[in-house]
Amino acid sequence: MRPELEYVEDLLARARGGSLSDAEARALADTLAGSLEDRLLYQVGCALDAEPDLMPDDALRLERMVQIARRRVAPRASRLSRPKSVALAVAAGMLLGAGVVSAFQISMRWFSHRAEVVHAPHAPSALANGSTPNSEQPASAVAPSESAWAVDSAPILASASPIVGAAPVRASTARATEPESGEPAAPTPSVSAADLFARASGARVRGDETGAIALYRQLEALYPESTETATARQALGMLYLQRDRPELALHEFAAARATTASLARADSLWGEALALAKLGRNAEERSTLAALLAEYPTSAYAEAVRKRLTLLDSGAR
Amino acid sequence: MLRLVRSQEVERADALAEIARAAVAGDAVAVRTFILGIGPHLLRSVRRVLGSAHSDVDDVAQECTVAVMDALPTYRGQSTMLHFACRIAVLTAMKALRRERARKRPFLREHELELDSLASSAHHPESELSARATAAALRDLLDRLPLEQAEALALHCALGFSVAEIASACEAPAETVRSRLRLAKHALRARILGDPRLTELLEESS
Repeated sequence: MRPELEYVEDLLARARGGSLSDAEARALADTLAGSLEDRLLYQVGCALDAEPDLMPDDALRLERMVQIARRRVAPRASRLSRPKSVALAVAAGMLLGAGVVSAFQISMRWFSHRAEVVHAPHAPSALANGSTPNSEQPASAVAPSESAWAVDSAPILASASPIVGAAPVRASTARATEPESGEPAAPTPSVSAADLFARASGARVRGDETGAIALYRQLEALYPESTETATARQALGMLYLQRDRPELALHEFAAARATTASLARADSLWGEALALAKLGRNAEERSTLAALLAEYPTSAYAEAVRKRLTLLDSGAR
Repeated sequence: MLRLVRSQEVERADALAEIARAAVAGDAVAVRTFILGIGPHLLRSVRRVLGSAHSDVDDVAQECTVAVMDALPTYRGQSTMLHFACRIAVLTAMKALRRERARKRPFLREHELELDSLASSAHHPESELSARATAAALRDLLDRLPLEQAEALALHCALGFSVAEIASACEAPAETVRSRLRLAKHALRARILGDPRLTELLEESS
């Protein structure tokens, strides 16, 4: 036994890793023969090792985990240091005080103005129309709520996607972005790729497939080069497959494969094969499956690929 | 056979710790790199504790992500970053397992296998049945053992940690870890020998 293998559990762990020397292998055999508990512990470990570690859609799971981690870190990173917080609190207190004083002054002026109106019955009364003393401003400058809400949601609701019934989108942060001129906002993406992806994934998890498709397509259109888009294409392909639209699914999987690598590429190849099977294009399906098996012989798809290839060889469709 | 922590991964550990520091500081790219680095290990840890077919794997993996990100500022280099994250994942998954058992919600029992799946997925159905039953027995034990023993057992059995690795991850003396493992082994033996069907399966497969 090597010096670092001080405990029998270390020997068992190393044996499961498959890195035993001859002497250690002999020691392991002796240990397993001599101790039922160690034998059971070893068997349990081997049983767990035999379970699959990689599953289809892991790339999507990882992407969701990235989104969660980013959201978790963002507030912490933006947290202010204590001295800054104290200074901010003082400033906020002063502003609040000033606000109270101003409100008092405004209300005093309002009462005096109202008194003048009451004493001059023929003067045109703005108050009679239900407007405030400042209502001489053009109506467009008083932030028409409908257009204000439309600004933030524009990149989402004004989707280039032909899919109808886009997912409802929260626009609570939109009001401040209303341009003062009242001109329509330029269609610049005010929602990040990560945010769009998170919303799309949320819709998908909720079972709102139509909304998810619209959002994924929105993401594709606005951020074609983003890393989220590569994953979105994969998800979109699966959604199209579920909706029995294999031709659209095939397009998305092919696009995903062109932009992704490693594990996600295996997912895309598998998706392409499923779409080709639905389209009855068996020769192409076979070559796609063969490519998947050649590139990823130990992937989670390998067994299913072999079965499908056997079926195709036997002439079944 | 796959062991979680290989030597080259230990070498990556320092790099992960550096990336984690940048992630804690709010670097979005570092967050992504960090999660893509440890994410597969978190998923694997959760699957090993809950079972890969468990319906809550996704939810628990997300809980683990939150727990790891929250714990990063407390990381003091007592173990590798990978072990640190995996320990959090194991504890989170065990907590979920215990929560579920406490609710007595029906869930997939992995040793109740469909004959079809055995026939198609394994060259030796007896071995596979025995392996799944053994894994189910371990998960049952993880729910019943005192937390420290369950943690040591899970880190060793599920993730292949050595005694020293468990000790550094748990910040406990090696002898304490060894003692916990010894007690857990006694419990495992009692659990398996107390189930004639399981004993029979193990005898048949060995």
